[in-house]
Amino acid sequence: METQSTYNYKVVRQFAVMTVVWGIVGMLMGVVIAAQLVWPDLNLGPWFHFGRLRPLHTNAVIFAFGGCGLFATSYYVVQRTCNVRLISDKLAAFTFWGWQAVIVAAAITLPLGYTQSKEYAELEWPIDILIALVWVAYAYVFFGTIAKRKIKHIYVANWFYGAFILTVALLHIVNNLAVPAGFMKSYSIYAGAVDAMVQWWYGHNAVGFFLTAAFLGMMYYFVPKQAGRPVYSYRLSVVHFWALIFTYMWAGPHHLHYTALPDWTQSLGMVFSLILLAPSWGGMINGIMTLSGAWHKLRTDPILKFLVVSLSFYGMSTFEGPMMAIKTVNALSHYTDWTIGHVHSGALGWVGFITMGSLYYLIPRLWGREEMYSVKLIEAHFWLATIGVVLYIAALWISGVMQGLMWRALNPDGTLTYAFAEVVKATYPYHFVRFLGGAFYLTGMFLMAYNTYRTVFVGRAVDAKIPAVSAHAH
Amino acid sequence: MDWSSYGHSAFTVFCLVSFAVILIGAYSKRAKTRYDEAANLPFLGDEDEAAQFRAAANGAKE
Repeated sequence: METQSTYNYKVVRQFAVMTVVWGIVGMLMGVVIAAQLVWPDLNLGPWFHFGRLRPLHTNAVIFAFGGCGLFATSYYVVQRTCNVRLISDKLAAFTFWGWQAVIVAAAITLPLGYTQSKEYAELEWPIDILIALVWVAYAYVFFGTIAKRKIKHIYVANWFYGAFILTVALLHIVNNLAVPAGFMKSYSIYAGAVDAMVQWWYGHNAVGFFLTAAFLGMMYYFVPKQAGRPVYSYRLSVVHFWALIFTYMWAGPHHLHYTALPDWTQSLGMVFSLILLAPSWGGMINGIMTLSGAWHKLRTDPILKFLVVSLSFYGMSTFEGPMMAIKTVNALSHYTDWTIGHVHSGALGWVGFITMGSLYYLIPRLWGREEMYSVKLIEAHFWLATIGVVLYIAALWISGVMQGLMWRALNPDGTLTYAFAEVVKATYPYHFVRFLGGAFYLTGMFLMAYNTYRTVFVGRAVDAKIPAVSAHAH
Repeated sequence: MDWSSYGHSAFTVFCLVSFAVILIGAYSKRAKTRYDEAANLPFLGDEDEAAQFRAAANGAKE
């Protein structure tokens, strides 16, 4: 009886808490490898070497922190906007425990050196199969819940989450097709330039669908909720959705400019990356304009600050991305720190901030409270994180452009002006600032963990009742 | 021009037409009332939630 009349918040609570936990683990790994680049002596033995901890960092922040945040919010949003409980509590629980098992397996196998050596798809085939199983269960729970909805219209946030779930299934399976050659060893079925093309079709769409479309789903629910007003233009959100998912699919080749990939493919990737500016900014404007008439709330509401600044960083990095995809700009920026700076302006600024803002909204409600234990600590977290991101990306912009210019500098006789080691030496001060920025960001995350602990400690886990649907909603 | 080139062109035209249809559909008068309701879906059940919080807060005081 109880389970029929309430939403399933248990799985949302579990994923929400693990988002904070894995956020700390993943960001700590980031600070550790940033420190290793400044103080190479910190590369201890084979297990804790930069080369093995770096994939652990990327997997932990993207799939553990980001992934748990997406599971939590998508399960919450789909239930509340469809006015119905998740279709299966057992399968939802399976996605939680299965996803945690994947993360733990990653945390063990990556330092041990088991890797497919595909960026963001390093995990070996047995773990890939577990990911596929969890993902199919996730798709069943999400789309099954939509299928039994009590509201006719499917809210736009669910479209974004749905596109993310379908596309990630496709990307994961196609890119990880491999022939096993032992328990933790496999060979990709692709070779040469085809392998590179498939990898970056996967890689860029992991950015486009995992780190963008899905978090836009978060944006379309939590920004209106926190601002207390509906999204600026629902029409724009519909056009935004279709334009974004269509365009992202073709942008991958910009990761392979000036490589063995056919030249026309590179140009195609560049053109589609430029087109991407339009839907990206359409979405950003839609989110930010949702606050029109409610700007005064920004002064006092740190959660809204997180959400709005995340949209600002989203706008910044989706301007920077198309620019960097232009082949002549890429000739300077590729293989330099600029790329890493760009990724982090998106990852720390956009993905991190939108997740933190959404969780600060969500966590108290899952434990029967209206607010977090301390709003002041949210404010402190916001400023620590903002200073951290700005330090991080500014340092890597300077360092990246400097690297690009030094690498291409030629003497009048055509020889290189700088040896590679000289360029490495020149980046040290900037890498230290990057480490500092990361440390700021991580400190903010510790405040979030403490605040979450106190909120959960004084609160009581509640599953909200499913409200009776009013007539106009049908 | 071989058949695959026609295919490429046809796909491009198909995508452009689809985009136009989505644009016209989204900005049509018919969509307006439907979208106004849809845009308010996140606020579904807010009153119930507020009442639950009030009840919880009262319970804590007692």
